[in-house]
Order: sequence, then C-alpha cells, then structure tokens
Amino acid sequence: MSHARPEPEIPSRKDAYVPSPRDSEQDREGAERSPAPREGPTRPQRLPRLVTAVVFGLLCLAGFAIMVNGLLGAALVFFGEAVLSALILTVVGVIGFWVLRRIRPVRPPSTTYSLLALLWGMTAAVGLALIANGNLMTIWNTLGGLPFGEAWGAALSAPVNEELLKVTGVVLIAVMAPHVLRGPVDGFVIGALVGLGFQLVEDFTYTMNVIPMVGGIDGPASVLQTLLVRVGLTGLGSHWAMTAVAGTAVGLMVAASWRPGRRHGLRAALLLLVAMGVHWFFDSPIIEGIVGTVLKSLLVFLVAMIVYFVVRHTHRSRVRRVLAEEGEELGMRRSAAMALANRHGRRGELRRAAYPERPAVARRQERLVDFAEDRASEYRVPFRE
Amino acid sequence: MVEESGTLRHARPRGPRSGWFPLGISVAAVAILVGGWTAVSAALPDSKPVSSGHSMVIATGSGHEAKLSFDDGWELYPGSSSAGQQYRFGKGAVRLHVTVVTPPEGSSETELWEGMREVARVGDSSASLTDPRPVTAESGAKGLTGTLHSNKEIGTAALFPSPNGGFAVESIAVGEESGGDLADAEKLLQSIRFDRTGGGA
Repeated sequence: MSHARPEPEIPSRKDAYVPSPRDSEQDREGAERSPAPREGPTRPQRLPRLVTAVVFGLLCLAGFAIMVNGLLGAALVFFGEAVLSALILTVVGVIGFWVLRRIRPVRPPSTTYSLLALLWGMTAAVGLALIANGNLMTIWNTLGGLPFGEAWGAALSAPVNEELLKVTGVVLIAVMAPHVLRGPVDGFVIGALVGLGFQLVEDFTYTMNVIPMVGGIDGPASVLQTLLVRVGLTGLGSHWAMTAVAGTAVGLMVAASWRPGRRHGLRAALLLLVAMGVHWFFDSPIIEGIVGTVLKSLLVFLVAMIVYFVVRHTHRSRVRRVLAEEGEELGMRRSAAMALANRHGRRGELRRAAYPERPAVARRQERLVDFAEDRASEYRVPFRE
Repeated sequence: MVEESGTLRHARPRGPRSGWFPLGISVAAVAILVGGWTAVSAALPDSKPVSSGHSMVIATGSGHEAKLSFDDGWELYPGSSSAGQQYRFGKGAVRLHVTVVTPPEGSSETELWEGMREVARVGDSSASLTDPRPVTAESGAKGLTGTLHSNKEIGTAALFPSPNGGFAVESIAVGEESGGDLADAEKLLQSIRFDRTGGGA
C-alpha cells in the first residue's frame, strides 16, 4: 500500500518516461517514504562516520606497512618475477573489479566505495591477517606439533582470521556510507570486492613465496604456474566468493539498522558461518590433490552463486514492486516503471525521450531508482518476502 | 509490578542502532584477532628441546626421506617452522634455518647454489655466499657448502640434493659475529642422510 500523496503538478501520462517522483521533502508523507540516505547525516551520525573513516584509513595504512615489510625484500631480489606477477594480477584485478561491480542488479555500486572495498582487502585485511595467522599457526604448531600444524593449521586459522578481518571492512564501509551499503545485495558486492583485493595480494605473496621453495631457480615459470593454479583453477571459488557470502550477512544487519530480529539475526549468523565453513573446507586436508582442490573451489563458487541469486531475485522483486507502486501514482505505465529496474530497461526508456530532455529524464530515473532501492532495502517495512 | 515493567520495556519499539555499535564490534574483532593471538602466542614457549640422539625426518618425496640426527642441546622453534618445508633450530648462539626445496627437474647443484645466493638476499640484502666447495656427509650424501657474509652476521651455508634430485635440503647457520661457534651446526648437517621410502620414483 502506498502512503504517498498524489502529485497534481505531474500529469498522468501512460507514456510518461519518468516523472519526478518527489521534488521536496514536504511532499512526502510517512517517514518510511523519506529515505534516510537522501538527507545529510545529522551531527550524532557524522561523528561515528568520521571516526570510522579514520579507523578505516589507519588500519589500511597498518596493513600496507605490514605487507611492504614482508614482501619488499623478495620483490627487490626477484624484481622481474614481482613485476610479472603484479602485471598479470593487475589484469585479473581489473577484470574482476568490472565483473563484480557489473553483477549488482539494478545499478552498479559506488565507484569510490568499490575502490575502498578493494583497498581494504589489499591492505588492512591481508596485512592484519598475516599477523593473526602467523600467531595462530605458532599456537597450533606449539600445542599440536609440526605435523598437526602443517595438516590443520591453515584450516583452523584462516577461516576465523581472514573471514572476520575481511568482513570487518564491509562493516566499516557500511558505517561510513550507509547510502552505499543498504542491504544484502550491496553486502554481497562490496564483500566480493574486499575478497577480490585480498585475493590479489595473497596471490602476489604466493608467487613471491614459491620462488624460494623451488630453490630460486626459474622464477618466472614458478610465478606463471602459481598463478595458473590460483587464478585459473581456484580463482572462481576463492576469497571473493567467501567474502561475498559473509558480506551478505553484513547487508542483512544493515538493512535492519544493526538491530535484526531473531530471523534476520540467525540468517546473518548462518551466512557468516557458511563463509567460514567453506573456507575451512577449502583449507582442510580433506580431499587433497588437484581434483580435490578444484572440487572445493567449485563448492565455494556454488555456495556464493546460490546466495547471489537469492539476494538478486529478492532485491529485484522488491525494487520492481516499489517502482510499480510509484509508477502507478505518477501515472506511468506499469511496464515502463518496472523496466527501470535494470540498465537495459532504463536505456530503452531514455531512448524514447526527446534528445534535449534526456539529461533531465536520466536524473529523474536516477532519483526514482534510488528511492526504490532505498525502500527495497528496508527490511523493517512490512514487505512480503 | 516488576514483571509488568519488564514487559513494557520489551514492548517498547527500539530504534536503529548508531554507527558506534558496528564500529565498536569491528575494532574489538581486529584487537582480538591481532592482539589476542599475539598474546597467547607470546605466552607459549618459543622453542621445544629436541631429544639428544633423535633422528628427525625433515623432508619426504620422490622415494626418499631426509633425516637429521641431533645431539644434545638443540631446540626447535615451532613458530618459524613448517613440517616438510622449513625449520628453525637453535643451540646456544647458533641459529640454523633448514629449507626443503623442490627444484625444477634436471637442476644442477651449481644452479641450486646460485638460486640459494639470491634467496639468501631476501631477508638481508647485504648477505652473500662464497663460491661453494664440495662436502660429503657422514652417510656419504654429497653436497656443497660455503660461507655466508653479511653486514650483520657471518655464517655457513650448505645444500644436499636428494639422490634422484627430486628435492634438496638447504641450510644457513648463523652465530655470533666471530662465527666460531658454528661447528655444532656443521656437525648437525654432517648427520644428514637420505633413506629410501616405499613410494615414489
């Protein structure tokens, strides 16, 4: 049911492109129709955002310093190999970044915060995980002995440390930019970008670490073989997929304003545990060898895809429903309003407008879709799921 | 009355949590994962004594296993060790790093030594290895040895390829500045032996 007041200044037109949904805050009725992100943050909201931004920046700097300290020696000695690895991973990163932003339904996420997500994964998450994993591995090796540490150390360290440190970045971005991370679908994409950043730097460290393991001989071949395995064989189901699942949990929490009911709380906890669980399985000595590694990777990918299609379907359905309601009030054809839920539909609607009107129509589309996405992310409003 | 108040309190709609809540959780998570594990790790002993006369398998592959036999006073540092890959041992002022490498097929001892020269510079850019000279272990295993020089320390390096070249054991031992106490490490490395195992080529 819609609570919006009719807008008499906008004529009812069945062929309307996108009339202005609302031009002033006063025109809105119910509070749920005034999406918070459109309003500037109040002073009590600004302070935690500012502090979060400072914490985010400091942790990224700390992580970067840790990584430089750990990798600089190897990168200088094996400079050619480091450049080769960095070049290949840059290409992988650019493609991954484009794909992961593109898979967000309705609209791509904010470029700035997408880059910040990548940055968190590449610096803070991976640097802090290096410290946390090193210490936890020492604990396993000391308490369980070296053979136990070798077999189970990674499985008992990385899922806890890495998943929590990666997802922390998603949480911090959600606090810094509530308008960017509004629900599960945003959590999935921002989480995937954090995981991608983590994966890229981890792959780089693996290529540098493998050179001493082959005796420092034929470094370029070692780099290429390592990347072939880590990108070609297991890249599909790696950190991006795990953190996407964990990020979805953050999205659920955000959508409930960090105060989820039992149902959403359980779902969020389950998603985080699933991310950690598949990471554990991937690192465990169960089903070893190339075939086993590929199967584990496919399982991680499958889990991420299940989560993706569920949140994508839910988000698109909600956005379409809101657009249909809004369109009805604004006198738009239902199909024209619902078409705005995807990029192709918006382009199509835009092409129908006279050329000089297109910038204004595009702005109105943007506002209407923004509003629809705001409402679609509100898990507290009585939406049917 | 108390129950009624409690019921009313729970029935009161609660607003959204401020950003402080997730920020606090995030900072706590980072502090626990980084600081907590560091504290637990620091509370555990750094090293574990290796029994005198103990023969430790340090590498297995390609149908052979490499073993080192320890005499009195050696300690293993689990935090810097990984089974089958790398080990850090210590005895008095001597620190011995043993690394198991899997070189490309057909790599010669000389190529392995040249690779080792490069790897030695990763941790310390001033480190350099002298030209190698042949060495034979007590078991008859043949390898190369040389001296390590750096701005910080002096040491000795050695490598022993497995009989079929499937893997090699490389070591660098460093001691006090004079380098006079490296005899224990050289003695330990002299104890290396390669035994056949069931599988492999």
